[in-house]
Amino acid sequence: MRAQPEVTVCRSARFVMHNRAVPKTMKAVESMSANAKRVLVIEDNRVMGDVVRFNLQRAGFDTTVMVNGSDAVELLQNEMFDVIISDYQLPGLNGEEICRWVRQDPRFDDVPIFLCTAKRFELDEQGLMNELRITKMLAKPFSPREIVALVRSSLESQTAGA
Amino acid sequence: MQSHTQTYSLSSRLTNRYFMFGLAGLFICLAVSLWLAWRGSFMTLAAVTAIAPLIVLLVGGFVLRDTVRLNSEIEEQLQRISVAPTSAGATLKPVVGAEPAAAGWNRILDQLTTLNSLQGLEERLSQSLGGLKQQNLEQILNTMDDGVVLTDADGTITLANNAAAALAKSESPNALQGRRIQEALSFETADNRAMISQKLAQPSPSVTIEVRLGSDTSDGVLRVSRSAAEGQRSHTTAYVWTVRDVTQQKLADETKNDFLSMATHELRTPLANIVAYAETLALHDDIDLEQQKKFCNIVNDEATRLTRFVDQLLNVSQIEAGSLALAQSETDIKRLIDEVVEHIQPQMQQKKIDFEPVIPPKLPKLRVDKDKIEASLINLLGNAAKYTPNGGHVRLQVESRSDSIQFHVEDTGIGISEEDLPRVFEKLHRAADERVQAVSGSGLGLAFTYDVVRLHGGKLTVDSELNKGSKFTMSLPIGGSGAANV
Repeated sequence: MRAQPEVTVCRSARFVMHNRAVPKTMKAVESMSANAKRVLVIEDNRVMGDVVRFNLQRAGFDTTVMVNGSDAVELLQNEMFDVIISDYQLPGLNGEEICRWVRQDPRFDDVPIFLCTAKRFELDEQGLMNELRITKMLAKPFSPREIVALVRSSLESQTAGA
Repeated sequence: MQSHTQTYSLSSRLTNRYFMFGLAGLFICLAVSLWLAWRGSFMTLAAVTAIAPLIVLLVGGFVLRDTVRLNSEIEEQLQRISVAPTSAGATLKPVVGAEPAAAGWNRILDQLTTLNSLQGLEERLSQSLGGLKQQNLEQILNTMDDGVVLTDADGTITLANNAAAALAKSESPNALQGRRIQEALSFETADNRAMISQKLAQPSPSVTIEVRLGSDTSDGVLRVSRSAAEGQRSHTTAYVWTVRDVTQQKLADETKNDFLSMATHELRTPLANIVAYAETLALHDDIDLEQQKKFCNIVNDEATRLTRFVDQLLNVSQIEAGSLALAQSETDIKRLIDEVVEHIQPQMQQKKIDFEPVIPPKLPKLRVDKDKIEASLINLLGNAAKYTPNGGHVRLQVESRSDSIQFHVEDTGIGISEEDLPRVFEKLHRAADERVQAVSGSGLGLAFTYDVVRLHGGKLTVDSELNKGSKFTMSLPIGGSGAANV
């Protein structure tokens, strides 16, 4: 009844070409310098959180994923992050509430925030962006390459501005 | 035309017998006078000359007495008509006599009487028709679903229909008369008083306001429209108000919007995962094989999730259209359950739920729509997994009875409130409970399952207690399904 993907999907898709790859997954993490920029990803969909973390870590960012809004705020009270990527719809506190909390803390005054949502048209995007100084609203589905590029450019412009 | 009338007048005058009678008398007098003068009896002549006109007058008066009476009667009646305020006010009488004038007068009188009675009839007819019109208008007003109210310029009710009385929870429309419309229909609350006053104070008589009667849409929403009773005048003395209860329409709109929002989320989430993993796989050529397999499985799982949701949407549209059809075949129920258990196990394991399938070693074969029954059981078990906290317990107990097979899905989850329980099989209904909203769901699964079981002639029941858990029982009849071909 349920198709078992190992055989059918991998063989039929173009992903087969990567079978030659040697295990290098941890390479990026290992080579991550001690002063690697820290990114907090708040995403309740674990599958999505994992792939964003995978791509950001490979790009050299120290990435932490939280699945609950309240837990994320608790973490932010104790730890510092250079970039925050948050989903809008979350258990605990939602993305907007997290952004409000972040902006009231002077430590995160200049931290770039990316807010992702699958309900883009129901939100007053411009209003939120202006009020909470959100760097960019991301509509799902988005590309991991785009996320990495955005995080990079936001940090670069921050450095250039500083 | 005029000359013809004069000619006619002269000839009638010549033939007039009074005139002829006088002329004849004159000739006779003249002849008698000439004869007496020729005989030389001047005394007699003098006497005749004195008496003859008298005799002529007397005889003429006697002969013409009827005509004179007739004329004076007609003349008197004509004079009465001339001084009467209306022609109807003067009472006219027929005259007696063989004279043509009498016949003519009487004929005119006949025609007048007929005319008068026709006029009366017409008046009575229009009066009764007017009454009928009024009655019809009232009937039409009272059969309208919208409340219709007539007020004066201050908003005091002068007329209301049954619907308005019902909206005002009043016994009869008459009981509303004299009350202020805002108070009678209680659409003015402390919260909206300022807004209503501002809108009604607008110079234009035509105003439409939508009023919420409480914080929830289900508390009621009224659409109140006001217009001038006498056209679009700025200084009107009366207003016509229509009040429509739009609660159901608003609730339907909200459900539709919620559904669209839910559908967008349910479609975009798996799609976002598919895009992200596929791109990641394509982007990095140094991912190890195990991870590649993991990513491929995720893509496949998310595609399956997407397909299932699209199937659900299609099923619901079929339920809506009443065209959800079953493709029944002899099905090994034991095998079907095994497949379902295998499918749901990963979901249970992910949340460390103690999943306990209790299945008898032998089960009869049933004639069912295998895919739909399988999807229904997955819905019930999937819900149990979704709404049971980590480390909870879910039990699937299958029971073979003489006339049916019972599938009990019991969990130690968040349960369903008494308020939500009657609506649990309703399409698109999801409890407002925060714990339910935090979990993605379409509100379609149970509605679909309910319909599938019903079409099989079976029964789907639920027993639940909030914060304790729920028990869903799906019962499928053995030996044919009553509603299978409905």
